[in-house]
Amino acid sequence: MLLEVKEVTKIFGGDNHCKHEFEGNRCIKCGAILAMDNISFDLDYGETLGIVGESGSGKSTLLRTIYMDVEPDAGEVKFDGIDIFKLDSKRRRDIRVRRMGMVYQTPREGLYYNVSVSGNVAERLIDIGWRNFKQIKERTVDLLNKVRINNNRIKDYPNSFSIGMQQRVQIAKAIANNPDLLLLDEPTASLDATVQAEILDLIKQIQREMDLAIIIVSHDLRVIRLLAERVIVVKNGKIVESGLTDQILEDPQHEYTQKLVSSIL
Amino acid sequence: MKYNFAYLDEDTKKEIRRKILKAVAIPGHQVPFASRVMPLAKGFGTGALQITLSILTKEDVVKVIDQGRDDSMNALNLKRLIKKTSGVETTTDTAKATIIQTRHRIPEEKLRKGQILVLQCPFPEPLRWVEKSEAKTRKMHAEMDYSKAYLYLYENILRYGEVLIGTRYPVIVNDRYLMDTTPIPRWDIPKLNYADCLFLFGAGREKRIYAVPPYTKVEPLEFEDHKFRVEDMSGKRCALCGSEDVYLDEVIKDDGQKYYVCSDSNFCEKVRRGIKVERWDNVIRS
Amino acid sequence: MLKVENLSKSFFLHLLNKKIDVLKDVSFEVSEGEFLAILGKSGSGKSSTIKCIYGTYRPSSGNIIYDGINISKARDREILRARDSIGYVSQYFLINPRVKVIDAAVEPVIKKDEEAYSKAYKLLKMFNLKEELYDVFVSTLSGGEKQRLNIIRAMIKEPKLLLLDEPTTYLDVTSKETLKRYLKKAKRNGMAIVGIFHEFDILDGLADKMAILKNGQIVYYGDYNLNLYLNLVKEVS
Repeated sequence: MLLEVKEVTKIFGGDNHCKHEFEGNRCIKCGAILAMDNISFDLDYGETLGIVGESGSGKSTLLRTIYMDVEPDAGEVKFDGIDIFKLDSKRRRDIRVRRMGMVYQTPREGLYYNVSVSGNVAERLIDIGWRNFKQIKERTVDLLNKVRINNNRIKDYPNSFSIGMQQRVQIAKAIANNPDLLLLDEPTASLDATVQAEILDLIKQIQREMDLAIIIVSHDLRVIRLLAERVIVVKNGKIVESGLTDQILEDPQHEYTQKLVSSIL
Repeated sequence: MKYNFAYLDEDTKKEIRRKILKAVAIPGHQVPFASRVMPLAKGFGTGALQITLSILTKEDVVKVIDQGRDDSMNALNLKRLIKKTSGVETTTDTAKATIIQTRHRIPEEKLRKGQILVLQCPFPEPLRWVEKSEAKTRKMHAEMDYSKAYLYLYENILRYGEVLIGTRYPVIVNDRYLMDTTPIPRWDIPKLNYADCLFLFGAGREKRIYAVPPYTKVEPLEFEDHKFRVEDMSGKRCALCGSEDVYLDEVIKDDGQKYYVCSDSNFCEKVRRGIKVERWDNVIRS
Repeated sequence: MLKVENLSKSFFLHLLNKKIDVLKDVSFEVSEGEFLAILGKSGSGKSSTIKCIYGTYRPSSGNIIYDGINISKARDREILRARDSIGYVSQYFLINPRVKVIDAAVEPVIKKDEEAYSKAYKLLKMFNLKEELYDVFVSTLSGGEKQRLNIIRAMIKEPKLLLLDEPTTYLDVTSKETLKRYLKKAKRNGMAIVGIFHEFDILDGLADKMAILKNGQIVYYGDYNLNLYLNLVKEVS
């Protein structure tokens, strides 16, 4: 099993000594936020999973926990059987750098703007130990071509591209190390409708070609429908329902899921 | 106005010496220190000056160079301050000095055991160009997450076909810490490796001290197919002393003619006077 | 091959605080090489039955046993595995419109190698989809062409069980005949079929058994007999 998330809980802010009483996801005594409440699920190699919920539901926190930017207060996360939060930060980083890729909601979060697009991708190759300039450059060209960015633009800086193309650069960067797991945090939320479709198609194509396991977080069920076989629905940090994508879309059982599904245009 | 010996009060000197010891104990690692307000503008060598003043004893002989020259405005001002507040002997002779404060160059004459080179350093953090947060760069040093230093070189080669950076070339010290070699040119970097002398770097504005102790491994970062190279001085020689294989400054006369002179003024003078100068033996000739 | 036992399905709509019963105690069996037609007025639960078999609807009670797996109680991954050998042609076009026709045809196959592509071309040809359409986006196809593509996508998996929900509404006579011929051949090779058709000409000579639904319940389950069905319908109205 590639990824096992077991009873993961995360509380932000508030008072550590408070005996929390949560209403919704907020503690009425000290104001702490319950970002994740006993979340469990698993994902195998090559499987695609969607995490759907509204903003503030905890879905982004969940993704960042898997990517090891956030450490849970309780529970464990196992990557390929290894309990990642029991590792020291160097070994944790090693797993992340070699086996995961992350695409953030906005390119600003995932790219360096004072580095060329080729350099942005090159960084990941250097991270996994590549030390031959020519090989690194050629691979960045291949990856950028794969996301349909031309050879004559590889030296350009990210802000000379449209935001849709910047997202493509993020995707190229995220798959540069041939990861086992690709994480996507609302990858099309900041894009126009037509550009959204192109990016989603690109992700789907790459997932198929590279047989990647994917976790895609979105508030939009249409995005999930396109890219994920299974879905978990998150509200106030809790999983309220989970199932196959067609099950969730056509036979939603929880009240919140029904609300989400009925609001798809 | 009566100053304390070497301008700084004893408590400040104590703190700085302690920080220097820590820096020497962890080669290449940046040690924060409480930088004092000095009687010169920030960016003009306040960090290095505080180091020099803290380690100064009555028996020391001090040399100050700027761009390799003893007679530049800044070098003279610094020397004057040091002499006025301590009364120690000053010199332009590299071989005679015990402490040499420098901006931009390591002297062409080999430094011996017991000599200390204090370098004025504006940018201590080699990763700052890509990461603004101090907390994050500290974490990167702790985890030896140094890809971004290679990225710095990568970008250079991508754009220019070769590494054209003049200063701030990144090196790894003692197989552990990534260090910024600002302000010295590439030409001087090989001198850091297994040297007999002690190198101290002071950044007043950024409040950091770091050190390369004697006999320490200092390795420049490089790609397999783009190895570290010093500046190309082949075919050029000093118009004053005739030396080749030395770091040269380019001078353009009024009539538009270009010629070269030694950057290290003391070295040039000694060659002209026929005095034998011992050169560094661990350097790569271009 | 497929055994449906006492299948019941209700929906609870939280927003309206209302329970809707869709299927009640439905039972039937389909053997290898057998074609079961599901008949009934619209709203009688025909599509819902098929969706329960495919696993899209989660039954309220009862069992759906396919190939040894109880789909009504199976976990997500087991259902996905079962679907590897189930072909499902729905009424709707669930294909990504921005994909090329040939890619859409091949998509359900796990290993998209040369063999898969040659199967796709064969099927495209068989269902009379013109060659010039192979590289265009699905969105440019007509209703009938999209429906044929739906069918091809179900067939290319060479499924053991085929579920058909009104797959011929936009098809012309030629295509319907092609489909009928294909289904006859597939039956001979052991494929079990559950089909909803309102055009009886296809069922003629193809359907072996029939299950007639009324208000979510089976009112008749036995050998296929069109007259019997039509009489029943007349009685009701």
